[in-house]
Amino acid sequence: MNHQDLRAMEELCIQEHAPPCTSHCPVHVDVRGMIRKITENDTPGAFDLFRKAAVFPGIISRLCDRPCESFCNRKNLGGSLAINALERFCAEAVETAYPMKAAPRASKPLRDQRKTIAVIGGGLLGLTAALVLYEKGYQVTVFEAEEIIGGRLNRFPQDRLPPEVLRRDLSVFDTLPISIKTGIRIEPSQAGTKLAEGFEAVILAVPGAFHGNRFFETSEPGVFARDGGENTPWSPILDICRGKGLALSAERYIKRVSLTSSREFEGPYETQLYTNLQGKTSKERKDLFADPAEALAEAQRCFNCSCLECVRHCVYLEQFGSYPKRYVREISNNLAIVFGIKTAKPLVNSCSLCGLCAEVCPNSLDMSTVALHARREMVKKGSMPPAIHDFPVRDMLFSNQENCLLTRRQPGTEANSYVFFPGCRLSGLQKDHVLSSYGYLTSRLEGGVGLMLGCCGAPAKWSGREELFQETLKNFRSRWESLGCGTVITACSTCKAVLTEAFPEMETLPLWEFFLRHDLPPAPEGLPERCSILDPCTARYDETTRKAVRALLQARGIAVAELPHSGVLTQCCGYGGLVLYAKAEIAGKTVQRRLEESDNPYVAYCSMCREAFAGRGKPVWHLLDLVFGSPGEHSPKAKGPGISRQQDTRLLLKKELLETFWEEKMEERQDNETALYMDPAVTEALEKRLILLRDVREVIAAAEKTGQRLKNNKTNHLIAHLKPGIITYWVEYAPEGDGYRVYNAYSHRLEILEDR
Amino acid sequence: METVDPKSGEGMVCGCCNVPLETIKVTISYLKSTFPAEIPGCPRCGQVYIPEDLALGRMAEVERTLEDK
Repeated sequence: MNHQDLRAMEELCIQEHAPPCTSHCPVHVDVRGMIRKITENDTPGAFDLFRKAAVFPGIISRLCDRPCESFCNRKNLGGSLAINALERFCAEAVETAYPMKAAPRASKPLRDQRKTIAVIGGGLLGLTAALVLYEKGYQVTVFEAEEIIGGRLNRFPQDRLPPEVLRRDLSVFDTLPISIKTGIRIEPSQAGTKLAEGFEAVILAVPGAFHGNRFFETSEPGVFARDGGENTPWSPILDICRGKGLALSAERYIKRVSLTSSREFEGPYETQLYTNLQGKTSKERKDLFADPAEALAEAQRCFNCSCLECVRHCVYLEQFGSYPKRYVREISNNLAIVFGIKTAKPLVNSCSLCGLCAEVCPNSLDMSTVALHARREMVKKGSMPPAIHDFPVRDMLFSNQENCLLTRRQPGTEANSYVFFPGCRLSGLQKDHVLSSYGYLTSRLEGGVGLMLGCCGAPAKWSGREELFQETLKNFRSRWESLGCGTVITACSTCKAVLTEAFPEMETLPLWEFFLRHDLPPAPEGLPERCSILDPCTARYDETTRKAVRALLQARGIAVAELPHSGVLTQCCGYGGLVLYAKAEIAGKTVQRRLEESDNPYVAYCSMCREAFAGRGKPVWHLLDLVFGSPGEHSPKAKGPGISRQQDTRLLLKKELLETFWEEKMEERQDNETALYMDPAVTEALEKRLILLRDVREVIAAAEKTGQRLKNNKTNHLIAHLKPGIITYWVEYAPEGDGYRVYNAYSHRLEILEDR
Repeated sequence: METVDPKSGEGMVCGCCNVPLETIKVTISYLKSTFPAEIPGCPRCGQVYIPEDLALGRMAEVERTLEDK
């Protein structure tokens, strides 16, 4: 993915596209902004926004043929917003309260272009062009056949266009240095003669011999004319639009620059902005306002159209206060900076890489591809702070070290049609389910079921450590090949997704599928009657797995009420993308929102999902609890074992599997298993601070060996620290019996350069 | 980084030198940034002490700032 690809992704976000009222307005009045100001009781502010685009606010607020309203998203929900009536409300309010401020406003030219332009016709079209060209710094002369300017505007009945309103709007020409020559009729066919008289360009703002093309060019260079249209009904707002266009063409002609470039959004166009109307209720339109309160009520009918579909569904995208177009821009800008301040790191590391945004985005913009690309680039360039993902990556490496790994064919068979790969999480959290599942598979399947313990490499992938990820995959593959390959049976959707993507030729099947193909073990007691399913984000595109899970619950007689965020719309639990480690508060908020989606007990079929949701008051079953029962200490309401015990459990699992299925005794480990005693509060703090008992033991062992420690004379506690990797661990302890009592432990990432 | 409350090392002695801790000057380094700081430590051997509130408070803040940069 290069800079251009990132720019293309940025373009997929449509949030900054105009709402339909604005895109279909020929002069693109910021209707949404104007309405917002009305609702904020800032009528003068609303009027300013309207005048900025409409040029002649008195005239347009009375005469506009309001093409915007036909495209309003309110159209079928009580009627389009009365946009023109609200414009008129603003104009009348300002005319009454501040008559001097109600006139058109022409900004002073920044520079004098020292070029002259003739405008033939002093109607709305010509006057608009004249005013715009004056603002651009041109010396403009308007030739009008009648004795007064205004053309057909002078012939409207008073009740439609009050004379004082017209006078006020045209009064702008009384003071500006625009030369108005009335009573001079110039036939369109004579337009060219004005060029000969020294005008640099001529704008023909009367119906006539010349018909301009889309860019108002005529057959005569330097003469610009409206694009015909005498037979269509007169549209004042289109006149303003064309007046602006004519002025732009004349200017570009004089400056000898492209007449056509960047003009695709001139005039009305179809917007791509998507606004979700689901849940919006109908409310009747009101055109005539008896008082300001009624105008306010009408303004409040505005949907304030915007997309933000992804932001609505994702805590992460919401948390940063903007939307993907800006996020992608920020990330790509940061990647492009070689030196300098990089501000996008939290943005890059807080995405769960779950892909929900792509599902809900009308253009399928997937922030996860941007975030993952950025992580890989940052790791490559050395700008990724290694501590952020240190713990999960070290945990992965622990799972893939010799003490935990196991690669075996089924005992007593040389054939290997299947390989059961339970994954590191289930192995650490619920080893009994791994033992039961392997027993189940070997007793039901023909052709041999091998076993592989370890981690698939997802943490390395998510952290952007591509080299480590590829190495992990390579090791997985060589172990799988050493068994003679075979269909991989997974108990974790992440493993399945990682392996399927890395090895498309490797057949993978979810464990749940086999409970359906064969018999289900006898139903355990105390199963819930109904539940909602927590689909893991890695099963978003794995319909086979999702279907199998639902069929399994049906077979157990458990009714399923789907969560709003389930199936392809499921949300991540926060472990995905390692958000839990980079921005724990985002992970926590996501979990809380999903917990509130239903009062039902939840069923998870990803061990990390179960852990994220368990212990928060609601029963959260692992799917295997419903197959084999929930063994002993694993209450569906309680959290599973902590980080240290998970690692110990993985070691223990290998030992128990070897003993149970291969009748092999593992050598007793000679680890430094010094006894540690601590209060539950200390255990909890260690858990929260991601400090393993192994780390604590290491600190104490080093301190006791070298004598390098501090002593608190008041408490008699010893305090020692050690920096085995990139983290410094501190432990407050005291000898007790055959081991040590731990009073506290904490860590930091800053390195203290001690001068010993 | 500002000086740590000198009281935080009160009552603490260096296990190697058996002398009370004092405020000592050290250099702190993280993600290509280095800056001086004053923290409790042994005036003789330089063994330092980072109290819990410093590690989880101000130091964690600095870590986050440098990581986000």
